[in-house]
Amino acid sequence: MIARTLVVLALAAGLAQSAAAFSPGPPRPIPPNVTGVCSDGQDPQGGPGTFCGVAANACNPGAVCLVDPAAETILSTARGVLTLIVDEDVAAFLADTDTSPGRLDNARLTVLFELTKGGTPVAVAETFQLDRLGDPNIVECEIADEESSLCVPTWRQPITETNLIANLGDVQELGLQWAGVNANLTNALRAALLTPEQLVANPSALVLLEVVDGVREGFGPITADELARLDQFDHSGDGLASVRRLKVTIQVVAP
Amino acid sequence: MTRRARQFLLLVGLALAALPAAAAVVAESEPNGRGAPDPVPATGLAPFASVYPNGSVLVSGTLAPGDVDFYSLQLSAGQLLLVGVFDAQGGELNDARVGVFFEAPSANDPNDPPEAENDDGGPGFLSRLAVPVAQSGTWKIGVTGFRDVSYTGDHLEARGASIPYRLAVAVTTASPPRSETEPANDSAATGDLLPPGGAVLRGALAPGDVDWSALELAAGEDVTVSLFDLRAGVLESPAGELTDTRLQLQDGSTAPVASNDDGGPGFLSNALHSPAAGRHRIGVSGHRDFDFDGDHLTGPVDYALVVASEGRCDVNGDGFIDQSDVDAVFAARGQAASGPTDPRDNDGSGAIDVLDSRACALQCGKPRCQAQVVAPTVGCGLLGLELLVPLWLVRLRRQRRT
Repeated sequence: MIARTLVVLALAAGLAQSAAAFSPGPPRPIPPNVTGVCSDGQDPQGGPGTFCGVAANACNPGAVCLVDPAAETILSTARGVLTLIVDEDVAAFLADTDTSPGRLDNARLTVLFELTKGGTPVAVAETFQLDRLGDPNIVECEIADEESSLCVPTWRQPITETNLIANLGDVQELGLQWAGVNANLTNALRAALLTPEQLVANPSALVLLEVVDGVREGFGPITADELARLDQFDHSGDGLASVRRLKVTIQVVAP
Repeated sequence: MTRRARQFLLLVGLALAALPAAAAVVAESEPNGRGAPDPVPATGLAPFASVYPNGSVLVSGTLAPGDVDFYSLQLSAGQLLLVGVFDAQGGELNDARVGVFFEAPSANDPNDPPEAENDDGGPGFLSRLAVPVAQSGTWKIGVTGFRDVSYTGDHLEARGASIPYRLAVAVTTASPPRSETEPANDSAATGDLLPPGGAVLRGALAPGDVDWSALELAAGEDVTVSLFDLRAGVLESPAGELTDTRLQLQDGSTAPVASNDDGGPGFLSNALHSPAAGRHRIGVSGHRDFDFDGDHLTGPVDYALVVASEGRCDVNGDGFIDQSDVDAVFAARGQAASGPTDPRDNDGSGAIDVLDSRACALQCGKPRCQAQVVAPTVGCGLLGLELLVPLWLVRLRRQRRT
């Protein structure tokens, strides 16, 4: 009971943080039926008997919530690079800028995973045309008329080029840990990372984005040192797509 | 399973666990954190170029959870330090960070940043970099996980198991002791023969050119090959921004056993291989030249080819160089080597001499050429009281005489 109260308080504290330049929303929870463990071996802030990643139950500062290998069957692990490409100005081939009335609805988000498995390079990518409303069952995407239609499911704000790029002093950052990707990408990653035998035995294995590096860590305004370590390229002002690269660890877990 | 079978399996398991790590010229000795680095050579700090006249050395280490490994070496201003980390998976799953520091061996301030560092310059997520040495003195190389920007062990690597790695360390200078021999090295059969243990070979690549070198390797003797491009007239590496190379390692039958295009940094190449015994050939070419016949547009560019292998001196084959190996080399002085991979013939001259034993002494894995595992003093199982019996008998005999 005490633990539950602490979790609720922690969640409330998280939501009560000051407004950020970009607010993807509260920390994404670990998928249901997956047990998390803090990388420092300590109990999460909810105390003994609680699990990290559940109801915003965070690990101590500096530690990361990971898939608990003692509780889950990890079928495969991969490390790779996740590249996000956001283009709010999807012009015709010969045009420099999109001046059409539907410019904002033409915006696109491209997700590219690159990794090596058993010495073989793997690349899977998908380009998304996202809606202008987000998922009202979670948090409606807080989109303004002048923003592009890049409402990411579960995010409170669209992933515009400005929001993709972290800036000095930003308080919140991309919340990508445990993010789900669509069925096409999930199936492709599962097929790439499992052996044929594993795939037959675990057709619905979970593909988990366990660790995302290349986003800043901790709390408070982002510092110049943190900013210098980010791998991002801002083209919000020149009609080109903006790009951000992040290192990721992917775990494929038996359901 | 019977009790006897379980005991047998336990003994087999213990025996396997006790197998020494593969030989390397320097093996880390934990704890070797920032304030207590392992010296290179292990026998004590000495100018790198004097201990390793061929320019390269292979260090073997293991990164554990929360671990950071430091190595110290003596360098001279004007040298170019070349460092590369390798693992058995080509960096698919392990993400290293390497920092190069100019500080005293005992210095241990996490707020002091490295002079240079690298995250993903090598194969996969591993690290590789070239650092111009601006000051003479003690330099340190730190190996850690990539998240550990303060080199204190704050990283997530080795979560599943400790990570064995090879650290290739090399130095080159404005007047390199070993350079390619054009045009003889255009042919694989007449390439430049490198000494056992490898070397730094300086060369130049131009469109249409292929450079070959060769190295005699013992079975299972890990070898790392790293290519660094060099700026014209300056001892610096532009880290493969413009130069796109290709490497190939061929075994004794000229079959390719390892090749690499963009292992990094940039478009440069590198490779790690654990070979069968025999003379191996190393080809350097441009990235378009899949057949290594010179069909490429890369260059002109100067380069340093760093080849580092385990070398010789491990006479008893226990995977570690200590006094027993040095003694064996010394005892065999004056004899002809049994072949190109005779562990007693350190320099590959074909004859075993006192220079080989001296060189092997410098390559010992521990100070004063101690054994890797110093056996604890084992008693005979008696307590000393048993000595009282003969003494009592002697005393009794003396009493009877008196």
